[in-house]
Amino acid sequence: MNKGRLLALVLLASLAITAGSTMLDTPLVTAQTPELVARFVNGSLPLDPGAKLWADLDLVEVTLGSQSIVYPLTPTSVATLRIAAAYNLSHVAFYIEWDDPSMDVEVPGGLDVFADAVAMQFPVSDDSLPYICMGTVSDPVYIVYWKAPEMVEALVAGSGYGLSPEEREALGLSKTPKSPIEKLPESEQDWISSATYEDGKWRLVVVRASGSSHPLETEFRPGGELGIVLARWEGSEYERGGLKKISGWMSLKLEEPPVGFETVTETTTVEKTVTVVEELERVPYSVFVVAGLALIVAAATIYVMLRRRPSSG
Amino acid sequence: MVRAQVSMVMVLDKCIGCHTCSITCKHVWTNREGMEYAWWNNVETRPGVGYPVRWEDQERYGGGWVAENGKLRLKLEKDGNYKPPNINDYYHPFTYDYETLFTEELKEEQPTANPVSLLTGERIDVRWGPNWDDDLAGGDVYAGMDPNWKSVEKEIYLNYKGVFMFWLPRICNHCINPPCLVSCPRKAVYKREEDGIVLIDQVRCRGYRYCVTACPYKKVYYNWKTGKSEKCIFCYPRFETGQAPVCTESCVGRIRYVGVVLYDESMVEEAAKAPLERIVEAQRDMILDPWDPEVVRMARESGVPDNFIKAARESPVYYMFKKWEIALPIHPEFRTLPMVVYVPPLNPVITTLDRRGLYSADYRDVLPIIDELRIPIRYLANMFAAGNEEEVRKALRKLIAIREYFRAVNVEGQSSIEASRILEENGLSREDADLMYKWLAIGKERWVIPTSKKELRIGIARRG
Repeated sequence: MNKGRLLALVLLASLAITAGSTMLDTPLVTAQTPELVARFVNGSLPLDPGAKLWADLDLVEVTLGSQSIVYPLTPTSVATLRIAAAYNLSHVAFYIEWDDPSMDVEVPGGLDVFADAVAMQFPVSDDSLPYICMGTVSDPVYIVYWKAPEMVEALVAGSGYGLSPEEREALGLSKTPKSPIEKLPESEQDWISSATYEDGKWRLVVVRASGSSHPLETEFRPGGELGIVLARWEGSEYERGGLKKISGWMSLKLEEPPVGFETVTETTTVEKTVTVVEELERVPYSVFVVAGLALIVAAATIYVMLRRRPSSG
Repeated sequence: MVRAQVSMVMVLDKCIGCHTCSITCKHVWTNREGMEYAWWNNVETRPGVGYPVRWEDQERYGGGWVAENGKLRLKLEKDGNYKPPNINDYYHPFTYDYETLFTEELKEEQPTANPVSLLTGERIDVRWGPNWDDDLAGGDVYAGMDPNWKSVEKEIYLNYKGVFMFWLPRICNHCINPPCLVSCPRKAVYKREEDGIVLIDQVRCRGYRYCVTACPYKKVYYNWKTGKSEKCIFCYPRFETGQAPVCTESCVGRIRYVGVVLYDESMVEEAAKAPLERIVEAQRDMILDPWDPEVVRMARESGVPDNFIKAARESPVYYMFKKWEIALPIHPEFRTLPMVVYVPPLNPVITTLDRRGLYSADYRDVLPIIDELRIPIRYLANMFAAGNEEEVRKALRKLIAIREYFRAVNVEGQSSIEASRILEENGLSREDADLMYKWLAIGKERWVIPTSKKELRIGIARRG
């Protein structure tokens, strides 16, 4: 999908949300659509929210408004999140921070305690902009859900009811959907997170391999552009489930990598390991260059092979 | 559409407050981490505040339904208040440090086992419990805080001479119009087609706790360990095999009666929206006569298996709630159509004589006059009839009639035909009297439970 079409869709979607919000008497959340650019990092992506990289990046401030489309309707109010994104050859990372006077985490016996949480929603396929309320059968969404202090889940929504039991099983899902929003199989639970709460502020970093190894997993392609929606649950206001604040669709652009990296565009299934970030920090720079070159060669070979096949047939 | 619904009657005059029901339930179902504070079955002392404290006060807890312009709305949605109760609204669960009793060094004083929090493992100062009013003698403080005093001059009943008390055992009411089910955006709460038992799917549940807030009886409990909500399951694995729930099986006072009733699904909405003065009547109207051939035909058409129809004919609940009208739903004003119903307490018949050796003026012959009973009718009406005192009087009058009848026959030596006029005045027959005697006095055949076989359930339609 070209950039123009995506932008048009983003604009249309935000207009629709804005119009809907106005009718439902909620604050305008996306009068201006912020654009988030994921910076290319030639090296490791720090999991520590206090790392220098995150301080160096420009944060995009996003305004979130009350979810007011489905039951239970959230009392009208606004919230903000500040977000930055970065990626390297193998991984993509998001840094999110927000002001929150209360640190809300679950505790034993905490019957009326709800943890602070945030989520990011992406289209499963980057040539679409799904329905903002957790997608549809034809246009599912991929969701990263983080709950204080350290839970992170990869979820998929919208697709469940459009698949046969056999297809679902093949995707590692339960035979019949138990909910419109489902946890992806354990093998796809590859986000790692790290968060700090200090001086009334949450700082969170989530990292995942940028390739896609599952048909319902979003791929973060260097130079690519896709939609992103943010959501936030404020524990002290008893927010959970549908009681939340959300943004409109925004654009997430992964900036073009510098010369020498730009041809790495084929989907490469990156092997997953939870310790990958720590490992990356120990790997010397030259390894990346070699790996990058190898990937380029591999991609070129695949490209040539693919080009040849139809002409021979 | 005719549906079968499992239902329970509790005869409050017979409850001795032994808590055996609670303990057996606890040991079978909730003896687990995360559920220490939860009592799917609990017994309250009335007047009192109950568990969680003042659960009947929906301005505090936001449960149940509100009828507005001919429509029903969840109160939590109307108020926009989705906050569930706090652990202290229930109580801080604790055990005792029993080990001390064995390990303490020899001293002048006896060793003491101190209370220890089941949440933190630390020593705590216990200030509240699930039945503090009773077990820990807090009645003088808490009786006055009972929400059912509405329109009652409670001061009269709180002093030594006017005081009264009874126990109120409670489980999930497996409502026909359950707000817990409707409030769940995940559709994790469901009402079984075949018997109306309300359950929470532990896979679908994501611990949002809207159901906890929405249930006006506070009978859904959040398990903080699993992060999911749980509730009384009417011991469905037992029920399916024809056994009574453990609370019922173990009941020392034999106060619990279990059976199925048939009801007309198309009348549910009207019954739930009925004006408060006739909401009990509307709930009764919904229950169908299992002997009526037309009802049987419709029930079969709706896929109700024959063994359920047969059980409905022998159901103590059908007789006590529908036919005799001696049982009443608890807080019908919450509009949930609760299917655990209560035979209100007469309160012990006072047997003091006046100076002349005669029964006092409060008595007609030997038995008391309804409105002169110790428990104010208004109090019971607030609890069991949305304030409609006539429903309570009707129930109590029949309970007294049955006593008068048997006294006339057994003590005064009247023939049963002669004495049956007492019954007829109250709309009862001698057959009714014999059945009441068998169930209420002797406590025989207290449950009639049809076994539930999968192949018999095939024809039952899904709920809309």
